[in-house]
Amino acid sequence: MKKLFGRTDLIIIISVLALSLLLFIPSLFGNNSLVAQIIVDGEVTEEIDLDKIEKSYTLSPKDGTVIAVEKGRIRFSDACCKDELCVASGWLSAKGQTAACLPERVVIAVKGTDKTDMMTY
Amino acid sequence: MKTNKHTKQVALLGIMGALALALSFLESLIPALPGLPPGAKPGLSNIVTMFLASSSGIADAFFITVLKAVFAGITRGATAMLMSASGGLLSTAAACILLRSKKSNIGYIGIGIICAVCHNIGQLISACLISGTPSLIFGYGPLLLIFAVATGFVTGTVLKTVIPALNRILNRL
Repeated sequence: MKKLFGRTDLIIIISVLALSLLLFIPSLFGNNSLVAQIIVDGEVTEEIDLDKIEKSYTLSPKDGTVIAVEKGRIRFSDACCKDELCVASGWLSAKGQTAACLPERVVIAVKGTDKTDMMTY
Repeated sequence: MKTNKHTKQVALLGIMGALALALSFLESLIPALPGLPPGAKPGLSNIVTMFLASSSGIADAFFITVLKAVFAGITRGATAMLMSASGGLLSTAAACILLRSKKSNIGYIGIGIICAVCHNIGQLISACLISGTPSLIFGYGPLLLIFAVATGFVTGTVLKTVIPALNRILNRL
């Protein structure tokens, strides 16, 4: 019979948490200017500078998904699928945040304008 | 009366299949919590496949994993089916190796966490492939890993208490 918790388990917990921290590092660097990329079928179709939005609006890159854009933030506001996980992701307002609509293959990725950080890390 | 071994297995898989589907339906009712990655679930139905991997057989565990994926496909569509299959198969493979190995000294909580991490890695890879966006790993990865530690802790603790009790019932059949 295996035990419930031992030293190996503690090492596993620490290494998983360390890995999550490591994956998080690239999102911390770069300047504060926010650019949202809208990626349809794996290709960037639109780049929106979120800091320069004056009036909020919505767009629909593909039938069945509606994206709402406001100053400094962006979100999926409506989806055609049943679970609407992309809508549940809520507003994206920080660098490194993503929301994905898998059924329609539409992704919103928020990036900083500084492109070198991913290369350095 | 002595029960046929084959009959016993059919009955066991029927009960476990129903349990796994009921648990995954129950999980799908949990609303998206703010701060957590959308679609993150506690992985309760993984307890069923992990129990089968440890006490019944590798084939049984994979059978229920595929059944779960088909159920997700019927009720939530093709994308859900692919996500369930990619995460489920990887996590069941890890469960089979770790729970059946006599040499490993990883406890139930460690096994639960590794299976949850494998489940997330499988889903994240297929999400990247479906959407063609590798940067999803950085967007969702950190939160999913932290969440996996929490859910692995729960599934591991439940397994430790449930396995001896269920084994006693299995041996009496």
